[in-house]
Amino acid sequence: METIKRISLTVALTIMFGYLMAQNTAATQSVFVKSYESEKSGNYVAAITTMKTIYKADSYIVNLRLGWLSYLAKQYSESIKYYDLAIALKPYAIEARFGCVKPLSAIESWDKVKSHYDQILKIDPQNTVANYWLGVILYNRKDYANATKLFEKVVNLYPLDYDSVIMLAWSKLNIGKTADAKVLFNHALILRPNDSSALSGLKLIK
Amino acid sequence: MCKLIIMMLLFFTVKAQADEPITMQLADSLTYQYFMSGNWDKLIEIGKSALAQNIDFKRLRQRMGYAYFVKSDFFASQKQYEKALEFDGFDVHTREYLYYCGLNSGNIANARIHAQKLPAEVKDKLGIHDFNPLASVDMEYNFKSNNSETRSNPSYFRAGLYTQLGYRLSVYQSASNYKQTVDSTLIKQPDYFALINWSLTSHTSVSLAYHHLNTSLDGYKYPGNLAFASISTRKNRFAFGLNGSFFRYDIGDFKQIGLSAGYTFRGKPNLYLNTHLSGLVAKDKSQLIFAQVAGARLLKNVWAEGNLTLGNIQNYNDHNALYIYNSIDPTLFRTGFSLYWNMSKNLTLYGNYHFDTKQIEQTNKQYIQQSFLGGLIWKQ
Repeated sequence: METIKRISLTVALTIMFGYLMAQNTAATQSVFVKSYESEKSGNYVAAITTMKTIYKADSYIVNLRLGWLSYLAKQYSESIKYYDLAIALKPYAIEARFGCVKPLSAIESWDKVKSHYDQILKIDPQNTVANYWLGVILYNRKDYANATKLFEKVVNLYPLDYDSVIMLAWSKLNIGKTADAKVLFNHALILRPNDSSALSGLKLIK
Repeated sequence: MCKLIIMMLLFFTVKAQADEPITMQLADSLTYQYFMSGNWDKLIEIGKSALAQNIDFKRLRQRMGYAYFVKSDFFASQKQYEKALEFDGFDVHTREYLYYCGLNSGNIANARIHAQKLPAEVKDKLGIHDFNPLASVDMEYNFKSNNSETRSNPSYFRAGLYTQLGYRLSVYQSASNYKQTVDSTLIKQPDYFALINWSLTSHTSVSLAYHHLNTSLDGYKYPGNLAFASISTRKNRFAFGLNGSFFRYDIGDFKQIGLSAGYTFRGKPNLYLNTHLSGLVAKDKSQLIFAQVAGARLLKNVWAEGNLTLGNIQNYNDHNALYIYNSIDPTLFRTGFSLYWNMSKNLTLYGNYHFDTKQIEQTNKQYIQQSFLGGLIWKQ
């Protein structure tokens, strides 16, 4: 009898817990739906307010969403704060780092942007977005040798990607590999005929 | 009319900003407008409001840094540019203005560290070199007059050479000669001094120095040697230092430990204070020496400095051991002032007056000595 009582109690509690969880999940889903609607209509502050009703510091998804919405609302310091929390919760997820790069770029915090791309490439070395943008940062810092290595990776994966080809061509030209640069500028002209950047590069070689 | 409308718009925007939270866009837009129109006070005001509301971005710091720079507040400018550097360590504009801030605040070591990281074309434009054997040359002549019957008026001549060995390493060398007759004994003292300075960071440096004295009394030689080490740090308006030296002379060994602290105040006169507290330890006695310096910019190119030293400074050294007060008669009190005139970009003329209360050795008889010094510094 005692055993039947215990089993009944356990079953009842399990059902109750499942019911509460389902209620909770439904409530979370509805908050997200509401925030998507506000975002769609451009009311980012309302979307943030909605998300904050279910805010939990240990929720990756809520911090990530608040990071994005704060970025859209141009509240960059807040956005970085939420993205940092999300990164701390899931250190091997690269989406939060890609998200964080946006507000950091807006305030021109290039050292931190570079650091995020470095981390992304440690996790996912072939990531083309990170390789390309880190290459751009290094190119702007006149570190042409290292920029070349990154653009080469992207061009090997996507030989018809104009942006990477033209950046690789300029990087090669800046490290004195003019023969390679010439081939790449000409390749860029196939991808984008009469491209002014490729033409000016070729002019410098001639 | 158009200008008037813009001014009114700016006025109402600023007014609105005072009532409502400022946004990054507003801070960006307004500081850009004020930057372009040269309204530095307003730019700083908006910048401060933005920072107070946790709105911070590279260009805001750069604009504020430039505004302070134009207003000749180089420490405030340096602070803003250092914040800009945290956003982007490779920004050439930031580095260049940090270099200028270092130069204008008299912190050459700091300027050189930033200069090192400038692109080659900017270094060429500014005439910055890694190695500069003749970075500056200085000379000074000092005549002292006293009211003692047994001491002649001493004279002192010194020449120095400052060499930049690299962006972080420099050496200063100096040779001098001192002459005085004491109780019919002719004292001559040629000196050699060398100080190596190594910048650990843009704010902290260590120095090592050696000072040789070749004292002669009526031709009899009494050489002395001093070794000195110091570490000093300057963080914006604050400066701190710790130094120690060991001086071996014919009359004994002297150990000196010193602490220094300095502060430069805000505002146009650039008033600064430097306090030094030293402990001088000999075999049979030890004493504390307190020195206070206060300086200010009187005119655009003229600086004045006053100083006061309390305590018996016999065998004490200051200015990183460049000067050793090893006169046969102890100095009990010392005060004076200096004037520096930056005549041109390359030439500085300076003069100095000191009033000393001295005591005839091994007696209680005191006398007054007044010192007049003139010097010039030529720098590249």
